[in-house]
Amino acid sequence: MAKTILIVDDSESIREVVNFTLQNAGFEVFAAGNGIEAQSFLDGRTIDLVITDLHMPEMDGIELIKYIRATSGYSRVPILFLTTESQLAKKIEAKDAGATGWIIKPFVPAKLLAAISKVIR
Amino acid sequence: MDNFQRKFLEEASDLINQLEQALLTLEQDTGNPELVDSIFRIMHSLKGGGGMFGFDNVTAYTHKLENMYDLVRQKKLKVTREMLDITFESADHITSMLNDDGSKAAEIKKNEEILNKRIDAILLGDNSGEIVVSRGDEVTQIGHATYYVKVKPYEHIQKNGTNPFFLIDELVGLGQAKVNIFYSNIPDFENFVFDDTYIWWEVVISTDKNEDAIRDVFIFVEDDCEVTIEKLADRDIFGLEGIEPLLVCRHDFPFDLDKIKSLVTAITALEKAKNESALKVKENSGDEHIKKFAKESSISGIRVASEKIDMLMNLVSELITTQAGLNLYADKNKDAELTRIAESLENISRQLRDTAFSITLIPIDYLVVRFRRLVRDLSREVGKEIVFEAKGAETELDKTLIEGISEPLMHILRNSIDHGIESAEERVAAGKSPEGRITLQAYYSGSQVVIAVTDDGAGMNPAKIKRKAIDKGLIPSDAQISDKEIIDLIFMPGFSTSEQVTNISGRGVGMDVVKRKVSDIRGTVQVSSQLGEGTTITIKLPLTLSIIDGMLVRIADVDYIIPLSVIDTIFAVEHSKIAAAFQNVINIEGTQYPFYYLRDEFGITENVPEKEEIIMVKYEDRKIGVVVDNITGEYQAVLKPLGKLYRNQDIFSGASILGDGTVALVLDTHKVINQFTKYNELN
Amino acid sequence: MEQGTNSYISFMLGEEYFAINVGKVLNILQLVQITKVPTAPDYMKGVINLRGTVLPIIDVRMKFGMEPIEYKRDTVILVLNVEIEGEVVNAGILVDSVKEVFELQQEEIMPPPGIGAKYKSKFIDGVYRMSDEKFVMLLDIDKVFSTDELVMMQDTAESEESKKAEKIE
Repeated sequence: MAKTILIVDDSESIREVVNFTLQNAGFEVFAAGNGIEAQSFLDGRTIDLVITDLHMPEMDGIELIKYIRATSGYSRVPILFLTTESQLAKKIEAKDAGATGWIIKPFVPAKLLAAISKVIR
Repeated sequence: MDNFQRKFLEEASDLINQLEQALLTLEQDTGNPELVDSIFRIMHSLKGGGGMFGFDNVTAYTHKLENMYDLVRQKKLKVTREMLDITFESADHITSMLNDDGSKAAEIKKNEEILNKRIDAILLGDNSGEIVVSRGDEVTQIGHATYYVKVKPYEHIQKNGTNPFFLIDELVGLGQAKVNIFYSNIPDFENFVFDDTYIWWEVVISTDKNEDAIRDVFIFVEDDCEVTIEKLADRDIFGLEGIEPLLVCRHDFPFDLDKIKSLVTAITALEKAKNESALKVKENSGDEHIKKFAKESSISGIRVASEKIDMLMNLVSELITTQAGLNLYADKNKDAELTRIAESLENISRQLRDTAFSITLIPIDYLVVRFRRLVRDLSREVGKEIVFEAKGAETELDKTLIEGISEPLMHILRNSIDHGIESAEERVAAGKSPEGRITLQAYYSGSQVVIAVTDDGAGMNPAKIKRKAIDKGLIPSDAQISDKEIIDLIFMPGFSTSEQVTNISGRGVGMDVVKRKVSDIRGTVQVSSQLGEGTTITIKLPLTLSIIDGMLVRIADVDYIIPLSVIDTIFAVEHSKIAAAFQNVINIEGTQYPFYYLRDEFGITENVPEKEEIIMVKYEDRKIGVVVDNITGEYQAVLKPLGKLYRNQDIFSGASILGDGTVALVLDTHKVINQFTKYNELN
Repeated sequence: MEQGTNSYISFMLGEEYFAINVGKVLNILQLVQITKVPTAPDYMKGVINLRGTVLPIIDVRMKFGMEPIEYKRDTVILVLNVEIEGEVVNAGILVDSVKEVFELQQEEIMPPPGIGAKYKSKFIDGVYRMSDEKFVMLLDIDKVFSTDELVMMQDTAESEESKKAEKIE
């Protein structure tokens, strides 16, 4: 059974790139445009990995990570967040919030898959 | 065939040559990881090239072999005799795939099916279930190192969705590893928190990746666990002798790092000493090959198509001939500036000549690889244990000579294996060691290269040879000849010791063929044999074939060239003294010198000068005078073959074109001396 | 016998006309100085420098049992492709003069003359009658240069022919 991944990003193009790469790698991919959408998607559904951007309208990434960790049934779901090289400080904040790891933007498919392979198999 | 494809074929045949060499060494040293790496790399190159240049069958086949050797590299398989046999046969198989024009497709396919079955048997047999498909990582093996990595997660690590097992798994994927798991921190049941992590790991990993790559594995968990990385050695320590017990995985038992480090240090030092002594004592060919392979990865040479070298040599030849013309013109014109330019140009031409010539030299080792294979295959075929040893394999020979000498040497080796070396039983009965020994020795001797093949076999039986020669009508039944002369009969056409068709040369082996082939490249063959002790066949070849420094001499307005390397001294003598000489011996300054009067030999009678020159030429321990009219000077001679039509005139080793465009003949003084000696023996 | 063309080149040896298929002829050279190779039979005249390679020169007149060639203004060297022991090599023959190149149909070739001809008929492939009623002998040059003819018989040739040559001198 294919592993399921949720990608949360307000940029449609990023969602598409991630979606395309991961589908080709054999994952089942769902997408959400912001934290609120992600929350309603997750409601009771099992997911193997969440990839989320940090800066999003409505509900940003840090809040989403905190929400996921606090929700029963999702406390152990690996969460990777998307960030840029210049926002290293965000890493600590995100890690403290409960993120498992991160992916530095811009990324190539190999980098994305390598990061994913650290957290799900 | 396009250029790229031809290039690939050239490369492939080189690779196969290297493969055979590596296999032969691996056979003696089955645990050597460098050799396994070499073989793996060769397979990989063949696979890659095959795919690019339209040899898909080669790609498919080498892929299987590559897998097999990859498993060996990962220590999941051990090198076995069957594996070596398969690989040897694979070398042949790949060669035939590369050379096939389509006509042998069926045969090749059948062969491949058999080989594939054997490979599968190895892959399944030894390691049921343990085989994992390689990760498909890059195969660059340069800069292997071994690290110790301790991973001690903090209890909360799983809180953020991290699975530490994945990290250990990723780490192990970087190379070859041994992992110790420590359970000792797991608390009593009451204190046990389900979500917490209590276990930790020690990993010894050998990888071609650097320390950063290892640290990268733990990038997400830097703050969630303690990671210690320590480099143990700048090499792959797996498979080193004696290391195994130190890398046994027992949970809760830490690796003894100090012991591992000191053992690796000791082994490395020992190997270094061994390699250095192997360099000095060039005898142990096994070590030499290992060295050579280690060296090959950093080789500083380039590959050049042999036609280009031929072309270079031709151009150099033409340059030197033109140079001679220029010198002649400068001499005539008495123009100081022109003479100066001609002289400095000549200096450059000479250096260019020497450099170009050295490019065409190839060490005999090039052949030795093939010979090892031949001896190995043939001795197994005839069920004899034979050790083949090569000494002086670094001796260099002209490319053309290497090509010309290969087949005769193969015949000689074949004869030694077939007829020379006895069966193990016979050898033991004769008080010899059960395994026979064949030694190939090459060395320089003056202006010649000597290659001697010695076996410690049964030796030749003069009585038997004589009987056979009489049966074949080669000598009369009442011939009175010495044992030495009898043994020389083996070189006569029609005296073949074996008529059977062999699968090496494809035809019967006759020593007359050997002799003819060797003399085609202006060499000589000698045999000496002791009944019960063995046989030595000695081939002597001229060092150079194409350009020689010569002395230009004249007889009756015709120019001849004598190689400078053989000239000892020169005397001027009155013709009357020569005419009065008894039995071609002349007394000069109190010493008796035998001499050869070329005018007599050449049938030239007109215009005998009053004063002639005797050029003393040496050959081995003999010195003989050659009488000419006069000496013109030194000359750089580009040797040209005299051609088939003049092959009976073997007193000339060739011809050279002089500056004025006329042709001078090059005297082969060795032949002169031999003829002289024979002539004297007859009288 | 492989002949790519029906063109022949005719030349004189003494008073006789001979011809060789042009496919065999590489070059026609003016006479140059020939370096004699001592101990070789006399009809093997020696070697010359042909653009950096050593070219053996044969006096076919002597080979055919005619008088040795006299070097004249018209004497030329025909450089030929000949096959010796299955190997194609270059060799030159001395001829008194070159005449013309002409075309010939296979059916115009008559069988070689029988026994009694002045020259060795085994080197002749056939005969062609020209318009002026002259006969041209078509040479099988590979046979002239076959090792049986040149090299193997060298010992006997050497003694016989050198004796003959001495007498002439």
